[in-house]
Amino acid sequence: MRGSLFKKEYAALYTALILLAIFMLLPTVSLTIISIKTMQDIAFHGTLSKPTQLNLDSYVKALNGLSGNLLSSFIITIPSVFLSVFVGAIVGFILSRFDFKLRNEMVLFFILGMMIPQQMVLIPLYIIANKLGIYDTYLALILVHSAYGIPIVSLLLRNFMITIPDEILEAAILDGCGTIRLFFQIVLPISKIALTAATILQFTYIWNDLLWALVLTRSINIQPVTMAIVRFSGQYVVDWPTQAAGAIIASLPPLIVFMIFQNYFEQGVIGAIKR
Amino acid sequence: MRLKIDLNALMLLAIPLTIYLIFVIFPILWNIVISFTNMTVGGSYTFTGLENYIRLLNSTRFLNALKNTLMWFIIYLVFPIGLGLLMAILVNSINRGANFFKLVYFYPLSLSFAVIGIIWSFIYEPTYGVLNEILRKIGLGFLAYPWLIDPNIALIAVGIAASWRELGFDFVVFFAGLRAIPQEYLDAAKVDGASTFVKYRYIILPLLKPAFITAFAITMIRALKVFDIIYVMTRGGPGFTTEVLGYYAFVLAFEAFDYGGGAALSVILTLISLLFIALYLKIALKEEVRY
Repeated sequence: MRGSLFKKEYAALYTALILLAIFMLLPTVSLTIISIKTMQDIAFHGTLSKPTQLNLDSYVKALNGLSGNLLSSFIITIPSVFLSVFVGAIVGFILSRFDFKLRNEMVLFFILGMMIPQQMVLIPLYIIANKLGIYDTYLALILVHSAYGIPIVSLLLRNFMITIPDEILEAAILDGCGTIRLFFQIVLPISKIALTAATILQFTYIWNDLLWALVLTRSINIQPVTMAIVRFSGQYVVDWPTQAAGAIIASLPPLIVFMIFQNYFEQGVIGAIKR
Repeated sequence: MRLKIDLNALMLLAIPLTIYLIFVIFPILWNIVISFTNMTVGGSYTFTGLENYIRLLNSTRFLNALKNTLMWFIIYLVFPIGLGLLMAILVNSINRGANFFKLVYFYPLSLSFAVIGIIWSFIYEPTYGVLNEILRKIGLGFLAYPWLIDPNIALIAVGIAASWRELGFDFVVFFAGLRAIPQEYLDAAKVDGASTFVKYRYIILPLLKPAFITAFAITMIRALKVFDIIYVMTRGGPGFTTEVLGYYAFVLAFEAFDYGGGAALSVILTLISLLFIALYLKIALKEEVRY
């Protein structure tokens, strides 16, 4: 235990921890309970009461209604994650390992890109997507997600790559490694941890996006599942279980990734903002 | 060791830089230009100077959105920052169960605001809503309330729903900051017989200053960007009581088709966020934040 605490303080500490844990868990537990009840059950016996019968019909309805959009989410998210992590890693490599004029300014340039509100570019990107003929396509979302992933990935990777010991790079250069081989064969494999963190972070960010999809798509069938569940909730206003099941299905991919790679996720959140 | 930049390095850099310039930097600059025009759908426009800005600053709807954003700052100061700090301090004080509590405190950060909006709509709903049901169960039924329908409460209610997710971010930043404090400092305090309060007030909190400023700046920027949760839960209503700047910018551009006005509003949003970006950079570039 860090620091010394009296018994009373210890009890108070755990009470506070548990109360806060209830606050954090109650919303998702409620959602799960709602999803397996019937609406009649909710209306007659209350929302949090024990289900009179297990209702999985809500999940069937939600899956039927959302499976196309789930697929869209994967089609958008997977290439965007890999593209943004790959090109972001290049920037991270250049910013951490090369000496050139304006290097610090360039770091600043990417920090600004990470911090500036998305609202600043909605209108121009809507017009650009239309002009390029990619409005309402997967490609528009993939390109935009990749571009907006560059700042956070490159800063995360820069902060990691700067810690790679010089000897490793010197040895590789003595062996005749050029810049490109150095990047692909030495730096990238060493940066596996940071690359994983960036991938996890980008997966959850991109999967969870709503605003880009709203601005850059119109067709219901190509929209990601985040947009679909909002529409779905409007459709099933009086059918809470189906709404809840839809929300759960839409959350599972990022939630599972988060659960498995919790430490990477945490490192990613911190890694991009430290210096 | 720093390498000399060569043709290969430039070639590598050309890919990301091109994407970044086309999709990030050019749109930012173009948006500034649009903010000085009367552009609407269709694209033809004339330059109107500062007219959009003057119009916005004189409109009660803009001032209302500004007021709501300032309120959102306060909500985010109390919940993500205040509660996130408290959670970090609590988890940092224990060994047993620390990993469990950590997971429970920051998993909502992996959920989308679309999902969080749906979850919290179930919580605030007046008739079957979770919050009112719990209040009735514990004998506080008189407090049951139509949370999202009352114009005086809705903004705070939505703000708390958003905070439930966002506090995970501040928790992680503060927790990392606490973990970075050398154990010797705490041991020294123990030997001197310092109470827990004294230890935190005079040793830990001062050392946490860089983490605090980082969390504060980024959380305020996140407050300025707020859009999704408003779109999912209230669409700015009832009336305009939950319309914040980030949401109003979208409405102007994509519902009123006032591109000039929407662009001007987003420039104002960006100018405000630059204040917080500057604060963050001051810490990040000068004081060496180490987590």
